[in-house]
Amino acid sequence: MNTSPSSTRPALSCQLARTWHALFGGDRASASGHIARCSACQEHFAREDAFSLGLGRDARRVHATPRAGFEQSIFNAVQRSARIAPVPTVSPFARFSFVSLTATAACAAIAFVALRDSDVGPATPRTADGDLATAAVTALETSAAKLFAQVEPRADALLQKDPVRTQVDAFSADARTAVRFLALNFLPSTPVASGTGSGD
Amino acid sequence: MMTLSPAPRAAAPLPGTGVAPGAATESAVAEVAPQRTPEEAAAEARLIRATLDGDMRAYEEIIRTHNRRVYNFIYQMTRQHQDAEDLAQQTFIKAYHNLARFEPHRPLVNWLITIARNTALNHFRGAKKWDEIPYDAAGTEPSPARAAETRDQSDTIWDRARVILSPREFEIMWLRFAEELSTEETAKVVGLTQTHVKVLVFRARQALQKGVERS
Repeated sequence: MNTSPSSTRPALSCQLARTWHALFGGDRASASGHIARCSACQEHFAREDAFSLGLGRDARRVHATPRAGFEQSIFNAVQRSARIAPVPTVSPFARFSFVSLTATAACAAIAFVALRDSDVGPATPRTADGDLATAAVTALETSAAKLFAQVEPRADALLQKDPVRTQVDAFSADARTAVRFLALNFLPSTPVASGTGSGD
Repeated sequence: MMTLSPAPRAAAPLPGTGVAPGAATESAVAEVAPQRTPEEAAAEARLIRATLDGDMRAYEEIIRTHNRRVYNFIYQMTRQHQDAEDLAQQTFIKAYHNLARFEPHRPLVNWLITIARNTALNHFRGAKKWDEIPYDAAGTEPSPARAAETRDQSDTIWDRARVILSPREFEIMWLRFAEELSTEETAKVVGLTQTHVKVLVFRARQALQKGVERS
């Protein structure tokens, strides 16, 4: 069954064992049932190992070395390049944090609403709680949008192309909800004559 | 029939090879042998961090450590000393500017070789000196003229490999057996799957061994 591989085609079982090892790697012992019995395969793998050793040995013989001073010329070129464009170590996206932007927007909106409320004189009739809260939320959304666009206009443009935008939108929605809650529950209010109003 | 069974008992090595039949040697280039020790990996990581912190002496050390290997790889692919120098220089410049994107779990030299390969391919694509030959099912039998050329010129196995193998097969074999990259690392460098690399190695080794034995 097992004949000299150099003169005739190997048996099918030998071909299978050799191909199995070549493609699936691993320990040759996984095909050891055949290899242990097959002298032809044993010789084949021994020749293969010797050939691999020869490849490594000959690679060292043909190894090409650069001219003297090559190393320094590379370093000089890298230094020239570094003077033009230093190594970037921080991602541009790290310059702004989505959470901090949203938090900033929320704080600015609260401050805006608070200042607006303080500008209203005692003689000015106030609307119902719900109307004031609605106005506060509207002001928040407007100012937050303006603030977000002003702080990093490039960021908004980038985010439109960035799948992370959904996360930013989620942060913004959470912030709006939080400010709405604050506006509804903590803004000062006065009794309303009609007693009607639309809450939010 | 091939069966799965425990490892065979130790047997005497075949004459002249020193290799026991069926021994779990994988191949002379161990598939899982690390390219660097943990200490070397740590030292390399320190140099990279220092470079990213602006220490050019650290990058000078990286250049000193790897420039010959990068140069040699490019030279083996192009056979042009001047091109190899220019492309190796470009490689280290590109690596410097992209060092923050390097994956530290890989050996740095493998990443450098990847950059060198891509730089060389881009350079020669216009000059058509090193064409990317797609994987095909062409036969591996050398023509009579090529066989004669092989007999006349070949001094090392790699000289014969350059004649017998396609550029892609030669590159894969060089990365596996000369640069001693694992199948996984070789696949990463050339952008193929590991299975594809194994198939190419299998065919190339068969063709090369047959060509060497013939001569």
